[in-house]
Amino acid sequence: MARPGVDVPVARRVWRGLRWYLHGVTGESRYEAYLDHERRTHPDRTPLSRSEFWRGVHADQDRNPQGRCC
Amino acid sequence: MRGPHTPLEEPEMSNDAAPTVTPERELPPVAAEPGRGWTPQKIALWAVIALLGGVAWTMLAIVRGETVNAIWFVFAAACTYLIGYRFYAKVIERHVVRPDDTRATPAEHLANGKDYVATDRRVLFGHHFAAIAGAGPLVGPVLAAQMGYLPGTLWIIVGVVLAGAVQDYLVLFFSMRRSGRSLGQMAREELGRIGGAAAIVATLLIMVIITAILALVVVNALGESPWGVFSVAMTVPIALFMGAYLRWLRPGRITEVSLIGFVLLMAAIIGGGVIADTAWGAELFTLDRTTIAWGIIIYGFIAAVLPVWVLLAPRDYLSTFMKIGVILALALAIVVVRPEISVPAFSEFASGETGPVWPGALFPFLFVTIACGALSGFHALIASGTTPKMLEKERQTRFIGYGGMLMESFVAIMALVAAISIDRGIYFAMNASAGATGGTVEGAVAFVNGLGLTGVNLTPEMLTSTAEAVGEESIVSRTGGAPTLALGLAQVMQGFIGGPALMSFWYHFAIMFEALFILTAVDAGTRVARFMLQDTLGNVVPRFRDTSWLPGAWLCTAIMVAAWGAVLLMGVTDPLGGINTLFPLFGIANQLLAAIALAVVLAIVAQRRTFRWLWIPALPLAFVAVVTITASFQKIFSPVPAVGYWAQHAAYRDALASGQTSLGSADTVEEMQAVVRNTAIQGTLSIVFVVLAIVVIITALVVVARALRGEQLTEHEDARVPSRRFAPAGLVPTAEERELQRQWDALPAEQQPSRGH
Repeated sequence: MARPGVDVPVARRVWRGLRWYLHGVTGESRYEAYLDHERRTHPDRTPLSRSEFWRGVHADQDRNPQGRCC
Repeated sequence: MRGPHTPLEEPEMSNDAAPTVTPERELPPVAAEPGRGWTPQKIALWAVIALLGGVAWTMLAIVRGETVNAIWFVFAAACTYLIGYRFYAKVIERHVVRPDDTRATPAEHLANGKDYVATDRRVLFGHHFAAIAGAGPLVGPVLAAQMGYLPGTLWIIVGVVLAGAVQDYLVLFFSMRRSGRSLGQMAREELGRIGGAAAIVATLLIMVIITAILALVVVNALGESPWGVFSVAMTVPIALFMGAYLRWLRPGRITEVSLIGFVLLMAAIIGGGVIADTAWGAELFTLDRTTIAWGIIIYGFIAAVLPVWVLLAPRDYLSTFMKIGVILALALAIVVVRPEISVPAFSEFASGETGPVWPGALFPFLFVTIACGALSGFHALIASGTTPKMLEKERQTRFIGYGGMLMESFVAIMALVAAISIDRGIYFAMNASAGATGGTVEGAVAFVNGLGLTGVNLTPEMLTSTAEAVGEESIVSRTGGAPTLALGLAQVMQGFIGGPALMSFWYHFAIMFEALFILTAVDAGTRVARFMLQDTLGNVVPRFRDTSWLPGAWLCTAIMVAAWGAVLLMGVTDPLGGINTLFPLFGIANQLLAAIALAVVLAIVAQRRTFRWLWIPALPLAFVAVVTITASFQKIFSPVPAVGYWAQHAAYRDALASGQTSLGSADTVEEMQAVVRNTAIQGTLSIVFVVLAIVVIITALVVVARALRGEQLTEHEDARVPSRRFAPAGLVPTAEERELQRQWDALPAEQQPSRGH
């Protein structure tokens, strides 16, 4: 879990918080979220590697395009 | 292109959120009790906010001395937003939306680890904001400054509270209740076949117009600007490098590659300045507008047929980074620098319809010129896209939907402040069409000083020294809004960081920032339009439904690129100035999309039988319908040639028939023929838009009438699934929510809900 903890020095908490937020907004942490989901709901199967996961995400975006705002 | 087969794509995956571990003990409540209500501290806080807002509005609207300090814009906006968010949005929540936190959101009951992922509300706010913020709220307010600062400020701030944020909030919530269905799908379900089909055709046309006019803004910003052309062109190799890095070197390391990309982007801006100074660089990269337009058309086609990982995805990462960074920097700069504004509250053009920046009277054209920032129909497409699939709890829709739009409005206010902080003479010299200024410094000085504006005395030195300060050959007739905003932003930012020496850097930084969004919007818009076209053609030739069939994909992409490319070229070569004639069409298109979204929302609210509160979506719908239909009618029927497309068309046709060889700013017979052709296309588009919007609004009103008569209509909401997780609703948790959060945090790890990390 990259969420800010409680018993760590302020500087490190700020750094961790910033990292957690940036990874969230850019979407980088989607892979960790996927791993967490797989671990909980399908512990029996091997999850995709990071590279396979992102290839899948991009392939999915190719099939379901989303507009950008003007 | 097909991705590798992943287990995520299996259909049985769609409903697998039930934890495999049996709960060992009872879960804490999933919804917090309402707060304790008003305490003296809270009353005092809101009284202070209301007072400060009142003082700020008094300074802007009533006192308005010789100059107004920019800080009052910030206070008026922030205080009004806070009050709108705390009071009006709460009323909407309680009576119209009625969220139920004991009900699972799609992110919970359809969780698949991929697109349906419950995401922390603060992260989702950033994600949603980055998706809705684009070039629109930056450009519209700049052009609206022609009327003075007050009309635009009022519409941006009041409009967002009563219209724009309401639309975003309601569309987000209703889409969430429908597993994140798109606006088009909701229109088909709620309005029936005719209304749905009209909504989809309107969306497709609107997409084409918006793409074309956004591209026109970029072309106008880059024309005859070797620095701009070089640095914006460099974004392509930078994006290609980022795409390759993410594909092969370090898959999924987005933050890292975004930082690298950002550094490269800064290098491209600095490098552009160096190269534009060399003789070969200036020669190679000084391109006329038609060449740049063709460049964007070719780029648009190639980018839209390539897989997203090559260009689109990396560009997205870059623009998210730039967006959040620049907006924070601009907000900070305005608060620190606090420029004095000498633009009048209402300008000399506020009561007429012949302003040099765009023609038409304040009502209705101000309300279509500032589309994004106050009310943007395009947001309805985003609010019914990825965001509803990531909401953790139903009550968070107010923070994400309503709050996100308030942020966008704040961006528009800052763009307005930046634009009005530059000298008014320079503002009009930059934004009057080349037909009026002749494109020369002398012509611009004569034209602007001839406008008879009080307190404006433009000198040739002002124009040449400003152009030199920002590293451009000339700033005369740089229409489209982007260069004006860039100049305003450069002026504010140089007072904050770097001083005059960095003026040209900030100018090109701002141009790059806008071009980046717009080129991404062009690429993504072409893709979406292509899919919509393929879906429509699929009704006749089923083969087109298969979006991975290359000939179909290429053909449909080519058709969509040709459609917006034709409008773009028409704008670039228009003897009457392009942006001036086309921008109203852009605003009308965006606002008609808002009318369609609000009509769909109105039908849904009526079907939920909350008739007493039907006015909440009806109010913005009525306003936007009146504005856009009036604007369209004026564009179609106005006898004033500058305002009415057909009046202009007739004037030029008659002039040609009587053998004239020049009229207004068209100097040759060919140019006159171009005006005849362009006005016919613009006039026809106006008719098509308004007819489609009227069809959608009428079908929505029919649905409302049927609901009022007591007819039981089909329920399209997802079935209720009980929620098994908890999260606070707003940015700052209440005492009750904090207490509940403690109980959840105390659970063993395997019983805690999984949250997009």
